[in-house]
Amino acid sequence: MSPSSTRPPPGADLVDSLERIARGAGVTSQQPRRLDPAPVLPAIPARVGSALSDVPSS
Amino acid sequence: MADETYAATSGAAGAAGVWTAIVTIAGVDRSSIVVGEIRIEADESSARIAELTVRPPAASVFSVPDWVGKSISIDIANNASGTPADIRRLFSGLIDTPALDFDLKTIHLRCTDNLQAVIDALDNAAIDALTPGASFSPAIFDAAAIGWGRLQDRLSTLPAAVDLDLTGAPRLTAWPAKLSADIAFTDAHLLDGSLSVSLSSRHQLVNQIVITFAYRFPRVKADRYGIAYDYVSDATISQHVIDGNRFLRRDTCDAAIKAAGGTIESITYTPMPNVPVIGSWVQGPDDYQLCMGFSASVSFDFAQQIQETHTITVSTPGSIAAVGTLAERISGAMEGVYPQIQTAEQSILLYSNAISGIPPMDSATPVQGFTTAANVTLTAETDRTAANSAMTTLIDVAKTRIHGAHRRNSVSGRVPLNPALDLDKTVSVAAAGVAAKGKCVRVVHTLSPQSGEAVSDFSIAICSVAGTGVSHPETPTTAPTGSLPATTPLLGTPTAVFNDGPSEDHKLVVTFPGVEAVERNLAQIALSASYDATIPEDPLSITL
Repeated sequence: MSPSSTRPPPGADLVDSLERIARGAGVTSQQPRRLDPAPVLPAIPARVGSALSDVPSS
Repeated sequence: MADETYAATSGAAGAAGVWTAIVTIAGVDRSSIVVGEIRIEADESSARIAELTVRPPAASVFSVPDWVGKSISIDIANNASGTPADIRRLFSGLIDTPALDFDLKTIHLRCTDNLQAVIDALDNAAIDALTPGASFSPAIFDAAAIGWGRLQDRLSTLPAAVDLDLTGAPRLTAWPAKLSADIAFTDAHLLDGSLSVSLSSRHQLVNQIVITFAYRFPRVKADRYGIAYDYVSDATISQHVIDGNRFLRRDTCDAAIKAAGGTIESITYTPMPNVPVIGSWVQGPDDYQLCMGFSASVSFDFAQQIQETHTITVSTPGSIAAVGTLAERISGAMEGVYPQIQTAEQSILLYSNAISGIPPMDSATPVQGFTTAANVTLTAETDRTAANSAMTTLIDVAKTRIHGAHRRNSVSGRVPLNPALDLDKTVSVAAAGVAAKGKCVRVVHTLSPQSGEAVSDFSIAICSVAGTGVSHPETPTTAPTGSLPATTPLLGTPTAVFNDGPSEDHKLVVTFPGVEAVERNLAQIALSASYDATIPEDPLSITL
């Protein structure tokens, strides 16, 4: 029995070769990106401060 | 022009051309064992491919290392004199895949000019030098992409193609045709019936790209209030003493304001009457610390997140007028990196109140009666400059995509093999009612030693939509205008109350309004900009 040829059909070689060798032409790493939801900062309510001044007037 | 013909294939002085192929493998001339057709194919932005078949001498031993990866060159020469002359290079590269045919005892060789490996071997600086004028943003592309990937990223922003010349050196060729064609073919050069025109479908066109880019970052802000309060006056102080009410210390005013979280920008106190005795009150040596009231300017620092949503429209109005709107969308986003916002707020507060000697990275300059804002120092990868770079990169991507979509028309033809035809050439055609000029995007050289035929098939890209001579002016790519820190008037009013009655708690209570929600919550800012993308209309006229 003679060895069989491993050669694919005519034309298929070229296509395979081109696809492999020219793989990625024009394909970029650009990806659509979106922001994660923004963290909610706490509201700042009215700011109140007090201090004692217990100085009698007499 | 002398490049339209090659004497070895076109003939000269009434004589037919006589050519011969010279195939050199690993430095050895193996032309004698080549059988059948030699085909060399070059497509824009792709590796140049060669295919040929060799038949080694009978009983030769096949060894993989003798073939795989070996260098190969293919030349054509004028053999009219019996000696190869005017030798021209058609291909140089490496044998990629040998395929055996046991029936015919031949080896089919598939060869490549090794474009990807050559590019992959370049460092980033070399790739950037190869693509001058390209845009790049790590926020849009993979910052870690190297070699072939980085080249593709940069080329997506540049109307140009990179392939290898016949010496194996990378070269960049702009898409637009040169002003003067390198090669001008006429009826005299083209083989009969070989001319064809392929026109792009409308649905393949893109003439408007809408970019959405979101940019979120913090700004520091400051409220500055004026507060004035007098609990007693020269006119009422006598009764105040009679009622046994309390006096207010100056340091109590400061303490109350700081307890509210305020920073005292300035403060003045209403002094006690300049008299030694008021009723039962006799001024003591320490009573200079008392006051009848105060007037202060007090600031509060905080931060807010800003989210700009840029809607950037890139279009070619001339194309839209000709074929209608054919739109695509692309998007991007970036978040400004800054220390945790509440940590930054605390840093400002601690420094402002002299609790910490470490100055905050950023703070707004307070202006009394207003809320002011200031930009902050973001990382270089996420600051305004980086955001602008990301947006200009996307604009260039859009412009390039629009240009690319408009150059899918092509004119093709076949000529006697012409070694000068290459992907960096601008070719004009004036034959069979077709006049066109464009950049060469495909060349296939086919050499058939058995038939004696050697031809070159070529295609040129024609950028066309509105017609030859129509111009499509371009808006230069500049970054869209972003938002600016704003100053807005304060709405509320602070208050102060001194509980000075003998049976009260004797506390001074100051109250400053809370921060308005519009100043604190995420601020969504919509911005829009428009840019015109240019497309050069290549000459194309067809007379049927």
